[in-house]
Amino acid sequence: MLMYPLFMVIFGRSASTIIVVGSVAGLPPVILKTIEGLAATPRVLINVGRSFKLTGPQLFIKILLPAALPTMFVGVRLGLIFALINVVGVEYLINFGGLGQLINDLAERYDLPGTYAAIFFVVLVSVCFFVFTERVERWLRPAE
Amino acid sequence: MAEAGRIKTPAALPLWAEPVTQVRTAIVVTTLILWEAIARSGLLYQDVVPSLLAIGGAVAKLLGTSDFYGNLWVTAGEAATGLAIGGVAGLVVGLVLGANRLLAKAFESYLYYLGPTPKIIFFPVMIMWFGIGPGSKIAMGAISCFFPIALSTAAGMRQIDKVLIRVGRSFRANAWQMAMKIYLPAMRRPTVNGVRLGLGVTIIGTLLAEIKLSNRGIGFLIIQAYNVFDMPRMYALLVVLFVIAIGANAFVGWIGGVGSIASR
Repeated sequence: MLMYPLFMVIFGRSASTIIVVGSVAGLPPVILKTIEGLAATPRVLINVGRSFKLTGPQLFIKILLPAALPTMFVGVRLGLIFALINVVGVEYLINFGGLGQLINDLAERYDLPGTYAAIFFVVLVSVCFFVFTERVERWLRPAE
Repeated sequence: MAEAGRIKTPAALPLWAEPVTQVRTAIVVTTLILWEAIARSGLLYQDVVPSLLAIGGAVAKLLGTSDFYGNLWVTAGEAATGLAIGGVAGLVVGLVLGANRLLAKAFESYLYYLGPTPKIIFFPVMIMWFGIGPGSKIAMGAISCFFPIALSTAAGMRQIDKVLIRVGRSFRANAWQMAMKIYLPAMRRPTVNGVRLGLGVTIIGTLLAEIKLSNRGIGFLIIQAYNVFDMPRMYALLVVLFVIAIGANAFVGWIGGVGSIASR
């Protein structure tokens, strides 16, 4: 997130800067968790696929991908949260577009009730975000 | 970034022949070459991506000025104070939540839900409460690191092997002895990892607060360099900052006795 002045110089003070910061923040957890999920596929499953003489792509689609999906989604969820944090943060810092700007505007106008209301709203939004992704994750996880 | 900074200096000689090291070196070299190519190509506006030589020169110039060290100490002091306040608070809350099942059930979900909110939005309120000086930056650092430390401490406390606790009981250890001899040593690893996470977000929180509103500190230097379009200086500040952050992270790990970044 500290790289944001760099993106500001490249993309200007625009929505693209915010998008780039958000995607850079969201990328690492997705990559790491995808690797983790694929690497943790049980050997038994892969061996079953081998014994059915699955080709490489078939093995990937039928065995590796379903096995890794829950872990991959953990990464997606972390990535979404990181992206949200960074997007709101950059919006607040550069005072451009969205919830961050709303808080900044209200604070600079010394509209304290409004500021608190906006902060509460952002907290609410991120809690909803968190709960929703948690539900999806639980839905994706295989029954144990 | 962490990886790149660490491996640029291969430590032992026999390592260099290993394929992993070679691939890593290749990645670093390719990145540097790409950077230099973009810098020379004129694809982006001039000086947006300065050449490596310019950045190196700026780093050298930066480290040579006393101005930089003054601001560095300001930021380091703010981050350290923030980490101390938020860390102690997080540790206490984590211990209480880890020890008490009822409180954990009642309050831990709030921590979980508040944890991923963007902390920077509290900054306007912190300005009102603690002023525009270092106070509000310390508060931002403390808020940032409170959540990861509290959550990982609580989780670490719950993961302690029951046998260890029973051993302590059978030796009739009192509460203080239990805490010092059983709980703290057994939960060192998750706690140290929590402090590490906390350290990272504290540094980020402090710097963002400084970028937004301050007249001292590294964050101020960064945004000042940005405002006068002194790109080499800005990159130099970022590079120095990454190195310091990696060093601080390794230091916390070393104090906690939990290996280096690589063996995590």
